[in-house]
Amino acid sequence: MTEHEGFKGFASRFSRNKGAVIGLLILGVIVFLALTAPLLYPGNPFSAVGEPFELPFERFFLGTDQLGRDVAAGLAHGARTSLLIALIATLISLCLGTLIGCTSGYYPGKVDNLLMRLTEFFQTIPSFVFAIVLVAIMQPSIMSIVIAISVVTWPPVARLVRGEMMAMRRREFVEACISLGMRDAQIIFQEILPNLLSPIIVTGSLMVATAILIESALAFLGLGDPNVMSWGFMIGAGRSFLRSAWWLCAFPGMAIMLTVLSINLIGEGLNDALNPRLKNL
Amino acid sequence: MNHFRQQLLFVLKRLIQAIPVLWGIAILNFFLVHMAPGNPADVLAGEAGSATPEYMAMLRAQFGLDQPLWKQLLSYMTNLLQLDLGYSWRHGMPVLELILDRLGPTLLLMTSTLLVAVGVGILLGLFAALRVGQWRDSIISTLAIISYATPLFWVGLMLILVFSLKLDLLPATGMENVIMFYEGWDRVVDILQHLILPTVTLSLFYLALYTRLMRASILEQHGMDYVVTARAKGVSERGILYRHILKNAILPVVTMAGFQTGAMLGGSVVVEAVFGWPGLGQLAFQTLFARDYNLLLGIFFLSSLLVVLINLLVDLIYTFLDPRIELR
Amino acid sequence: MPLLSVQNLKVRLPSGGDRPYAVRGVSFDLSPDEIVCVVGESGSGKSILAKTVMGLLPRKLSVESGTIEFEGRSLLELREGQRRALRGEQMSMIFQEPMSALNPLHTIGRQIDEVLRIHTRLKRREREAKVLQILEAVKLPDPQHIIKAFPHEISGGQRQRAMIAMALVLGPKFLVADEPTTALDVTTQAEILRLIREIQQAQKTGILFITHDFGVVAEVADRVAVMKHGELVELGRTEEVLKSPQHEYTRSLIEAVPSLHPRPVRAQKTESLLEVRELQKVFRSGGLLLGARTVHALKGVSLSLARGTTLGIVGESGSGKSTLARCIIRLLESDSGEIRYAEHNLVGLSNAELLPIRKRIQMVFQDPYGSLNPRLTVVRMIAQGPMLHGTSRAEAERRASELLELVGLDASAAHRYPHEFSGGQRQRIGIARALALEPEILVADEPVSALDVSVQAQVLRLLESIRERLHLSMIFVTHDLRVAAQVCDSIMVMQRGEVVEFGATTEVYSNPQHPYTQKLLEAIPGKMWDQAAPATQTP
Repeated sequence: MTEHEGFKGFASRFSRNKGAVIGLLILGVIVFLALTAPLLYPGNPFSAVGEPFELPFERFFLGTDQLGRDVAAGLAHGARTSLLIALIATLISLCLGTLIGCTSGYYPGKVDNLLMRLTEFFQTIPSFVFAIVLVAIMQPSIMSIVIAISVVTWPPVARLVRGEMMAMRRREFVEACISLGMRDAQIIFQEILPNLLSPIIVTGSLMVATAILIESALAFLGLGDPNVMSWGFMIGAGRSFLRSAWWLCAFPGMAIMLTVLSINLIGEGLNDALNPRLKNL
Repeated sequence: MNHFRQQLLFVLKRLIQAIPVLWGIAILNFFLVHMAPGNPADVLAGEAGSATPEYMAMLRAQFGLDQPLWKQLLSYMTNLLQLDLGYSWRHGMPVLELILDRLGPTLLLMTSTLLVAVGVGILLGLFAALRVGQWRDSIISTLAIISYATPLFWVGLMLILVFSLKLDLLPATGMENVIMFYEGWDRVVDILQHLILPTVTLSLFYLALYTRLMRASILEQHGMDYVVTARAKGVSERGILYRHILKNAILPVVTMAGFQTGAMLGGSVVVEAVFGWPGLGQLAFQTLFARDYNLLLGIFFLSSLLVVLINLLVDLIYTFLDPRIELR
Repeated sequence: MPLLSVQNLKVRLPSGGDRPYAVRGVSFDLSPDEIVCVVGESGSGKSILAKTVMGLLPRKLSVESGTIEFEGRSLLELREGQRRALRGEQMSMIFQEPMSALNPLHTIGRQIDEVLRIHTRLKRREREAKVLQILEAVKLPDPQHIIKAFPHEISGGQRQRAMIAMALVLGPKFLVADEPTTALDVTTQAEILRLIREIQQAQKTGILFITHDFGVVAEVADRVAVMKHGELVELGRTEEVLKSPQHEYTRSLIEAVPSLHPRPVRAQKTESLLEVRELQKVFRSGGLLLGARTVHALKGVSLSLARGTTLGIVGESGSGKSTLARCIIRLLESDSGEIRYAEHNLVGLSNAELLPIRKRIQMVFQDPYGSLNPRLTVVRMIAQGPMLHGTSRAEAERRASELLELVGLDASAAHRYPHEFSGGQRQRIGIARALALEPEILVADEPVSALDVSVQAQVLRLLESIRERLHLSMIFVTHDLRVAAQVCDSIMVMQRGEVVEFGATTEVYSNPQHPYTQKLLEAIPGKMWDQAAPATQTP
């Protein structure tokens, strides 16, 4: 158990993982692009700035699309959308999953049974189809997409937290807390939850990646918020010109891949750094 | 201990557990109908304005739309559980018939994907675990991480770009070349050719997942006590791997594969949309533009049903792989 | 010629560990048909020694120097293939935890058959007959059924018998037994020890028996080798070592073993402090319809704890002793019955009503690792209780430092985290936490069973002195009748949720009434040795 060596030990273990450091660098660049998009590419990314189908690496860095819109500007503004949606959806989903998982894991028996049936139910229904239905019915918007992603991604969190909570619940220090006279809420949130933070953080980081994939797939199917630029939308719009203008699909796809990859790498680095014992396999 | 009896009991239990799930999905569908824009009758009729007034009146009667909400729920569920999913005016066909038409191609795609993903995933995972720390392990692991991060639809488009548009090796869209009127064996070959790209696309993500899982699982099993016992018996390392570790290591992969069928169905929506594969996913994709909510919900209901059935099947298979059946 | 001869064996640990060698310069011989016990505390290197002899060292460890000769062949010079051919046929091994040592997906029959398939050219029929024969030889009931059973379908004792059958099916000349009875209940342990002894005599097998328990040594060993920090500190005939140990470490280990002779009776008060009447507890698991199981853990248990005394609750696993302890301090809700304490019936009190009573009854737990929250400093953990009951933080922390001193820990321990302490120190922290609320009753659930014998003696001594100083009354749950003899004034024997015997410790030990109590006492390993040497006494 090395949780107490503080930030230094954590940072040194994290930086020993090359992939994680590379991931952090890539993500850093993407986040920087997303934050500075309004400065780098002022104005509406939907408006035409050049001729249609201008080749990349000439007048515009990544070329223009069928309406003469700058692909690079689209990518920068799309990064904002993807990261924003993914972050908010992940936070909601983590809170929901942790709450349900904690309750279910701490109260075995009826409460657990009921909540787990609910979780299994949400896990049984095909999650992406459910997300499509939700967004279609609520009408595509950032809000509806966030809701849809949160609704379909909390069950694995709940299961994970429940499992960890049950393992902790069996530890005798919890019984010691009860016999000291501590209230359940105090035990769950003050005593146990801090011990569960590392698996939750690791899962959370990987969920951001999943959320980006779901968001881009929704936008690709035409279920993106029509008012904001997104990578999935760019690919969906560019696919009709695959033969003549490959860059319309290729670049946004790479952007998604790099973002998701970097987040996954960071997640693995976090996992190694926060749960060192798993490394000894 | 009668193993067969336990198996039977286990499957029976799972069947019983599936019932509330089906009820839940039906109730969920009902609320989604009410959440959809427009009044429920419009939603149930499909594309707004396209249904005849007589049909609308009939709908209102059938679903009791002038009744209180709980009565509506009751009649909606009765209809749903009889698999009466309504009528799609857009397609001019009952929803159930439409869906059943499209079920075959989707099942074909999912089966081939599952076989490729699980089969190749287990082999690659085994291969990587045997050479853990060597360059071949690193390559497999790196490829797995990359595939794990790539959006399916983009892989599909890039494969089309390379293998269909540039190299002209494989067909890009559809399930078969309809205008050629192939029959018999030729038709099978034609469908198989069309199947390659969608299968590769859809399986890539799961392939990566199962490869990583299998690798980790084998490495974990290697440290178990029973492996030491086998060594103490004089079993060779080969024998330990194939007779002892392999079966134990495959169990989590099977569990995961069963768990993933729902997600895979979702992935097939995207893949079918990319490749014009005439399955449920493409149908769902088309409803998005037509705002044919009732058809969409029908697809949702039936695909959930499908996942429940597949999960039952996986549970059944599992009882043959692992004697420790938990009658939870 | 000895069957096995180990000379000057050195096994290197991977760098970065707390010491460079797991085994350091160990030499001994083992003749055919003798049992040599290697005894030592955790970390003594005894298990590594066993694995080295079998050629089963984990890859990270390597033999640096020394020789191991088996019937005159130098094992360390053999190729891996040659060693493998020996394993299972000439030399076998049995392990501590048969559940994990058996492959969960293969039947018992198949796992024994595998040995025959590897090492012989017998036909299927012949192999089947041989498997049946060995299962009968290890006295498994209904071998026809066991052959087809999976490991999880039979009991722990049966699994260990199956393990032994697997190790002995080819009649090896040499057997390594690595703590084979540690995971078993005392009565099962006695049966397995008897079986090993019988088979050893019938087959003339040389056995290297690894254990931490001097009782087991006294029971089975012809000779005993004592290990400490990787070195062999003493080797000799069992009677001699047990009677007159030469090395100081051996002496301290033997002295730390609690005697079976109950300690002298203290002046008994009869005033009853806590009374339990007809307590019932049923565990239900599983779903509503199918596969639901119920376990009747407590079937109308009654007890009475006299002020200032220690009541021992003893029994094997599944007897309900831990459940009883947890019901008494309301960690579990009992289904019916009464727990009378200071004019309250604890059963049915709400949490708010219970709060003031909680301070009066505190618990000490078994697991030195799980019983402390890894994220809290020691001082916070000890101060927590008083703070919950209204003491100010400063006052509670000041008191915590005093308590640390009381339980024999340095004041510098206060601001460290649990993982920085050894098992014995953690138990001391756990005791300090319980004492912080100044309880009247201490319920201790197997407080020393996870500890090495020398640490165990220290913790028991501490508990005793605290009990004296603070005038505590104690309920002491244990499976270990030796510990119970030294700690308890009265003893309650439990079996399958029922109290089968209750009485003063001296009475119960000298004149057990119930057949189960007699069986338990009979099963204690090293009984004979104990009766021969009643001199040693703890605390």
